[in-house]
Amino acid sequence: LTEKGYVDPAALDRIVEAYETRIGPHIGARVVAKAWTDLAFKKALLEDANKAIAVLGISNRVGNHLVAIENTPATHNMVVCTLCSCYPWDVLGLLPIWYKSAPYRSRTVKDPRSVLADFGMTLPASTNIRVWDSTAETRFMVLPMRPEGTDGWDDEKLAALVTRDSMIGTGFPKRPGELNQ
Amino acid sequence: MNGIHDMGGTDGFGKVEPEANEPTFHGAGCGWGRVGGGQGLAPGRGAESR
Repeated sequence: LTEKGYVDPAALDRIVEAYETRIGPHIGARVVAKAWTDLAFKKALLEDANKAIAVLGISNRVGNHLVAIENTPATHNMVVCTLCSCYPWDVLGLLPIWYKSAPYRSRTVKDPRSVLADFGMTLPASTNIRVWDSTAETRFMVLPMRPEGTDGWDDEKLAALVTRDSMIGTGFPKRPGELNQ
Repeated sequence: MNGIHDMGGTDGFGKVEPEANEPTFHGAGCGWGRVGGGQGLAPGRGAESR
């Protein structure tokens, strides 16, 4: 492709470098932390995520419709793309290999609890699991529940607790005691 | 869609295998992940390289 002049290796290097150094789940973590500390922002995020993250200077170019979904004690949310690997790149960066794997895509919509078990995650039987299937146009990010013991923490400290998997629904945020792990 | 791409609910693919400390691009030795990944990312993402 390079020899035929179809691609410029320098341009590819800059795209790769952007995903290695600038675009990643720390962006989504900032959004989650803000939602945990600012009720008005959380409301705006759940109503129209595109508009809400634009206020933080984050644009959503991949897929034109970002939807944030809130975990509660009653409902846990998980995101999948059963058809391929649609993912909210702008807020979570590059997707993990397992997200596009056949086991994850096939079983998440049929038996989400067993998929969570593969991640070492167990939810109370009383918690409903809602699975969101992504499309080319619509991408989802999970707003996980704020960990206990974080009263009074600022956004930056809270963001360090937010893991990539917690925003896909296949993990919990770190607890305060796990911060350096 | 009804075809091989629609995997939702299909049986027999086994366990999900999360990878601890997954690298952004795989293939650290020969760099295939960066080269292939960069080409895959390129369409429509020029703005990110600026």
